Amino acid sequence: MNLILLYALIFVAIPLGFYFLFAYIIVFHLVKYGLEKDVRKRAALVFCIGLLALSITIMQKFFAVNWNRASITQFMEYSDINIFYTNYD
Amino acid sequence: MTETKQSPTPSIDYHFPGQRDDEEIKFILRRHRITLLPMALFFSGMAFLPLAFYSLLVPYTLTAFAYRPYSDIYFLLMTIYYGFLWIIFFIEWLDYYLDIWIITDQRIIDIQQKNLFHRVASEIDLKRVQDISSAVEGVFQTFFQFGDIKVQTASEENSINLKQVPRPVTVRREIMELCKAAQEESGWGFGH
Repeated sequence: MNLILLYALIFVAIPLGFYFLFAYIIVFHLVKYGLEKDVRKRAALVFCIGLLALSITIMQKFFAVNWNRASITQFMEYSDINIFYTNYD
Repeated sequence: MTETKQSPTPSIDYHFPGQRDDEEIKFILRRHRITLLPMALFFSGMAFLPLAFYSLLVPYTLTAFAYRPYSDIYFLLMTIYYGFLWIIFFIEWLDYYLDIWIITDQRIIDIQQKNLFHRVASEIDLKRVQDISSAVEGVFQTFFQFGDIKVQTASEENSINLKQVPRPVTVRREIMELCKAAQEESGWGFGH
């Protein structure tokens, strides 16, 4: 499987899937119980706009990453982490 | 001389599901807004956490996050985190908004949103109310004028607790007057 597709699944598809699932539950199954129609509408609108803005930002940031240059070993090297290092002293 | 009374909430023109034709909403109560303060502080702290982590920990431990493309990945993860925080914040706000007490001229309706998929509704007929008590406890409640009200019927199992409502003394007095009116109408006496 293409590695970038896997990253897209982990960093974009799964979070956005959760967001839209919660948005659906909140907007269509919970906000409707609110008594005041104007508050209900405003709350749903603010929530959806916020979530949409964050979803767009996630996609933007995902495409901004140069995934070909990212690797776990290089990350550990940069962070000075060596899990294979054994001190025999 | 007629005494002008200040109602706990302004005039209401809402309707709730299950409202009777001859039923009039007198007032609607929610928890005092100041009770949202701990939640607001918690979410402010949680919103600040990734930024604090980046500025305090990244220079010393996970230094790779300071370089591209790892810095980009960090901000991508941060945005995902904010998305979940936004959802949790909204669920918490809904918990506040959907916990409601509707006081009509016939009954008291208690609707509680326990969690995302758990909603409980109960009601007490004003004619059956036997005792109403209010309690304001502590400096915080005294200062911001909110507290609890307990409405009981003859059977001890059937009671409604109005928790952290604003101006509990005024609300208790209003409910007592509504009870008196309802019981006089039906031939019962308040407290009997």
